[in-house]
Amino acid sequence: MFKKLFFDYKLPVYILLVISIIIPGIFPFTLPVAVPSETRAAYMYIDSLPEGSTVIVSNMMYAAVWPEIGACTVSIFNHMFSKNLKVVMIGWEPETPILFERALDYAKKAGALDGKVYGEDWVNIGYIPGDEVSIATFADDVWFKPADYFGASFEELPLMQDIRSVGDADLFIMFDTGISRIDATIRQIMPKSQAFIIGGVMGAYYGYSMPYYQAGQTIGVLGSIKGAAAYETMSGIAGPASLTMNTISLTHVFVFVLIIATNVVYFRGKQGRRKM
Amino acid sequence: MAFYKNRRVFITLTLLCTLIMILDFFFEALGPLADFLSTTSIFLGSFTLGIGMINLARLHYGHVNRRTEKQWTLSALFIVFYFGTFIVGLIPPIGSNEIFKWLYNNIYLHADVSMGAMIALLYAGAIYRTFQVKNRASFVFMIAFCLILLRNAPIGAAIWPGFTTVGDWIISVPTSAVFRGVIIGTAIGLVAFGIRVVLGKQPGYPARSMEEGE
Repeated sequence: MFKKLFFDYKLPVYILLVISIIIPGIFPFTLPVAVPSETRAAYMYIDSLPEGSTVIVSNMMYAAVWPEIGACTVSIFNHMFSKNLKVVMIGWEPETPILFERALDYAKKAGALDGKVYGEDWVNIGYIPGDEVSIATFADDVWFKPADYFGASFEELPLMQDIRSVGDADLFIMFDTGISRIDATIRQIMPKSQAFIIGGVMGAYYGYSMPYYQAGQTIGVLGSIKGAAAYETMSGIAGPASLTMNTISLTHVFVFVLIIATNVVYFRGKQGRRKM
Repeated sequence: MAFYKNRRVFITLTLLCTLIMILDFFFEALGPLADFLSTTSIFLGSFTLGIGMINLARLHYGHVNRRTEKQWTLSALFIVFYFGTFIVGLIPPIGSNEIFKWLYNNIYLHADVSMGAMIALLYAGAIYRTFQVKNRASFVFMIAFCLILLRNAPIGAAIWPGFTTVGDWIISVPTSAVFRGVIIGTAIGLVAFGIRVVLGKQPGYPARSMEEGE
């Protein structure tokens, strides 16, 4: 039996994984989310900004990373708009501007955008191709693409009149989806900004962003869905990340049990082979 | 030999552009020229998007034309959705009209996220095959993996709050140390690569056909 389990594992593993994903949806439960110190630091800094402060948000999200980076974006948007901060959004992937609008829909549902006007309280600049070259150009001249995502000139948008370079904003928040892009944004933007936060990185690159946090180059870091859920815990505004943590809890327990099971199967199989 | 096939011309151009950007960065000299180079490279990036679109369309049109077995119907479907989405995106405001956003949010996004979610099944299978304690190194790897797993899930802190502390230490100390080395090594490697390119010592830059003097 153990030899069979060692080789024919796929069906039972896949079925148990699917069950562990479905159960939290049918029987929801809530567990407190521990807040890492780097996420707390990011929250405290954004919370300390006076009303009317300007924040530039740079993002590289696309559809596949929406569950991770989108959750971080939504949690920070909810907080920033509830504090009446002004937000300028820039995307470095073709899909990012549409996903910004999707994140804003969450903010609308949470009531964070009530009474706010596009062009005065937030601007979606859209997508600029060119990776690090465009990031470097944007750092010095925010107006080098002088129209927003909807085609309106910056001259018509009151919020953009005082923002000519990233140094004119009170805070720069980046959400990144790859190692090279984390480096590129920190290289080009961080030295020129008044304050810098890594607002969201994928789980696989969370450890990669820690040296920057420890060196003081970023005020804080939000690591994937866990960071977003911790941020929502601090801000008190529930979002998609908090809902996902239930599923993450159960699937992580399943993976833990899977590791124990694979070792039991392996060692029992080894003993069986030794007896033979 | 035509000038555009001459390897030395491209190396010299690369060196000139690099010098202009370095002078602008360190001494803030040649600002307008450096801005022009930056803006031009952004335009070139936009063109590569267009080239990618054309290549993709050519590839699938070729399959449809040749009636490639088990492929041409999928290619035909691809071309219909591809150009359909492109045409819808051209409706003003370009790329941000409501129909285009609806197609993206309700069809493409869910399809793409679902494809990514299927990786979870692959991961589960890989974990079952990989995390067998065959030696001391795999034992340490397994223990660290389990600690990080329980640190990331709220249920870990509910079982024992120490999982969060231990997991945070693993990320902050050994993991950060390794990634710090990776960051520094990558940066040094990038500088070395750049110096080789501008001096013309990097194999493969420019294209091999130029090096062979065709």
